[in-house]
Amino acid sequence: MAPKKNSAKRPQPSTPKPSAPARIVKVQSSDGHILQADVRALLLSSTLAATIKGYDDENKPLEKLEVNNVVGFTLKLVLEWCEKHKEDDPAIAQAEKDKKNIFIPSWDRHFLTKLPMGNLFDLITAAYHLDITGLINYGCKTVANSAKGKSTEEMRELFGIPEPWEQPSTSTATWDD
Amino acid sequence: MKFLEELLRILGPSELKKSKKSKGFPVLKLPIVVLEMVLKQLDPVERFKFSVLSKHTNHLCIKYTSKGSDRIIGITWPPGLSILCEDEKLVTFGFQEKSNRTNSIMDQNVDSNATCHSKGGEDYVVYSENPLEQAMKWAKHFNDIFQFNHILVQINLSEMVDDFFEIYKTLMGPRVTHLKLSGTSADCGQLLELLTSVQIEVLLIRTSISGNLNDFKNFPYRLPVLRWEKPDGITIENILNMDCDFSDLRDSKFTDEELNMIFHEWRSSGNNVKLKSLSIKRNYIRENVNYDVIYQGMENENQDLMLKRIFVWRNEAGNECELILQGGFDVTRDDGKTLTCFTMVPRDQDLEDLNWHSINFHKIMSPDLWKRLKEHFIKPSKPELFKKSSVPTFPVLKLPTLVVDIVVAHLEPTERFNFSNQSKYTAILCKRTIPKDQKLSLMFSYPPALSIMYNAREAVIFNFYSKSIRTDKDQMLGLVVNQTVNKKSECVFNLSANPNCPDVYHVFCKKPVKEQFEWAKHLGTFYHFDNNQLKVSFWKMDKKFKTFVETFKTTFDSTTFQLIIGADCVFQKPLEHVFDKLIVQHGTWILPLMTLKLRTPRLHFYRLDVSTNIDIKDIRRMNSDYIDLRNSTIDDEDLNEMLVEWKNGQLENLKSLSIRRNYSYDAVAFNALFVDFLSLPKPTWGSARYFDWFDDDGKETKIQINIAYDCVREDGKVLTTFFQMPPDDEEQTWHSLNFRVTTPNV
Repeated sequence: MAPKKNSAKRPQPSTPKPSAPARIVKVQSSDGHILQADVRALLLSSTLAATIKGYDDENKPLEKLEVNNVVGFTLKLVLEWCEKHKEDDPAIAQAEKDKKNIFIPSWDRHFLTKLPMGNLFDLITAAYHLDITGLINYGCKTVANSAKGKSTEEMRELFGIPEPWEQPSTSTATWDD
Repeated sequence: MKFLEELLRILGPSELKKSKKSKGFPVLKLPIVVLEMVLKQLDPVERFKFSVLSKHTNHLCIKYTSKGSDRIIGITWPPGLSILCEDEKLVTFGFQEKSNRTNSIMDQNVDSNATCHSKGGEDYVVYSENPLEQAMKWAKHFNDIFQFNHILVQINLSEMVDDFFEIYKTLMGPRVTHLKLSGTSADCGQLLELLTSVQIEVLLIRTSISGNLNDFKNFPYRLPVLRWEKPDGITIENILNMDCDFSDLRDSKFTDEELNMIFHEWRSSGNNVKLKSLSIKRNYIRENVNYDVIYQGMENENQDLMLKRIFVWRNEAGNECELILQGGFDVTRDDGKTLTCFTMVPRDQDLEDLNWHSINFHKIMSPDLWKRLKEHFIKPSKPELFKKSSVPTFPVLKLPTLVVDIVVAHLEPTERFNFSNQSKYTAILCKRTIPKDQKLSLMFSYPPALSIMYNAREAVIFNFYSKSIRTDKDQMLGLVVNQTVNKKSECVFNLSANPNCPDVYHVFCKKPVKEQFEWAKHLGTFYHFDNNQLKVSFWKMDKKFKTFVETFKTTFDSTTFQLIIGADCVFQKPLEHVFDKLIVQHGTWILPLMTLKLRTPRLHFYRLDVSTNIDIKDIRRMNSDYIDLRNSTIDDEDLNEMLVEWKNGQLENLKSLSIRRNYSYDAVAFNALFVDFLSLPKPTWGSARYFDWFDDDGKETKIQINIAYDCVREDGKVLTTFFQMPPDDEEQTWHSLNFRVTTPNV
């Protein structure tokens, strides 16, 4: 079969498919908030996937997962993203990781660009702790995109880089001295 | 604002409010692995800005830089830097003596002794005591954070300061990947000294060289790439001692005899041991070309006109690219080295530069080169995981049969063939729903290929190869498709990275010509073709050619068709053979040269895509119903001469003439064009008139004209003049003057 030229150039957003009934578990944030999530969504996180596998291997009932390094509302964002991407093939995200130009699908673009920067930072950090490759990819690309068209000063403000006089050396110091 | 509502639902209003406090993104506080990813995703311009924010950010940029594939840094004299990146964004830096300017100073700097000012956009100027040294310091800074693949130094040797390269070498090392010499002239001795002190890979000489060129011994004739725009003093002896990987001599003055001599000398002398490619380009406006002389003595050399090969070539900038060649003479000398000789002429799209031809000598590919080619050009196979990606599906075959038929009938030619390949059932669906209104043409090409033409463009191409090049087939990336007309042959789909390229299929079979016509019949069951075209790109009166013409004749004896004459050289004998055997109605000549030397019978329609060498005398001789000359250089005075002749009762046979000129030439001068022809050129307004014409595909059509100038002569015939320009959505690069003769019924 001859493939269509433009097919599979970029990963497509997942589409709902008829599947087995969702297995819901409780997830507790570091500040004690308890949220509910589909196990398939949680499997996008390598960290949580390992924990869930541990429970399954030992045939223990999984009642509650504790996420000790993510606060409640960031965890909400993480779970919302995972829920949207639970049908995705994790290998796609893994392959995208090394790409020079990551393409952000429409839903994710809206989700990430509309977030206040503070939330975006927490979200990316949480994604790092939970090892969610897809979210890290899109988050990093969003941050890189936010620097587009900015002057040096605007970039300094955006990225919170200290002003020259706040730095240990003087403003006229050479970088390679 | 749907999304904001959704966000509010997720976060809760209080949480969102709380988070609004922090506007910035403390990027340096990210985990280092994540920070590395962010840096790698930064665009080059932002990357540079980030690098100058602080020592730490500069260090990060250097640490996490990845070698850029096409990043170029350009260094010029007077001191300047340009950075060209993958997305063609350009950052420029000028370097000047210190001034009192204080506005728009950037706080950070590469050197404490300089101040950097923004000139707006991505242009900067740096003021310092020593602009040249400063430029090199900045170049080093950029090279650290971008890891340029190419360092291009562009200088005018006669204006350059002495210590330019000394400072360059101190900071950047001795390597210059590309050196471009500009200006009007450069001294031979100065160039030689330069070439011995720096390591150059690509030398582009765009200036004339003064002095004694005999001083050049090893340099520049041993450089990997040498491109010389005006090699006026270069001798045959120089050429025969040349051992560049790739040398390209532009606008050379070598005669046909000398070119032939170079070839023979190469064969007999055993010189040019390392030379991989030599291209000699001449301007044919000044000189006519006689291919018989150039290729004298090569007629009996090995040549397989069916064979397509890929060569490593060098583009305008001197960088490696791919050249696909069909045919060519393979000449092997006593030491076993084989050289492929071929002619190149400008491509159709090179409209602004159509006045050259080149003779090329290219050392044939070695297995090692194939390996390099594979690494460089042949795309890796698709990763398995992408095949599993969840592409939205639409089970079209589950639709009611009637609806499926409608969907299939709407498929465009490319998708139609693709769809027919899916299964036996989809092939049947395509066969029973053939749209008649798509206005398709089937173009037969020689060497054997078929193209489905849609909107004057190739939509699907089938190339036919002999099975004997099967080993090459394995190196052509592609998927074997189900469809074939012969169980023993194989059809391979060639993947293309460019979505604008037509789909290309390679058919490997025992008898390419026979297979080509069987495929034509086969395609006729999927498509409705309004007409057939024949494009001949290789003119040699041999058995294969005769078989092709004979097969064409037996298949389409009763069909008149359009003949497209391509290739860089056409010979009278095979051309006569085509006209003798086949009924040619329209002739379209896409070759830029030699048209005048060929004798053809009277054609109904005559189009020359390149008619720079056609003048009024030739038009008189053509004696065709419709003449369409593109890229013409005929001026208004000459045209006026012809119009006056017509008015005086001459040019009996002239029916229609269209002269398309480029805007680079003068605009139409009405005074010159209409003098003694129309005393007061008043346009004939009013209702639109329609004239018979042929479109780019050679199909008969009518064009609507609203404004035209009429001139009536004594015998009652009317000559209508009107102008045409490209449609609004196309590039405005030409205008055409059109003349139509009509005889009123009265």
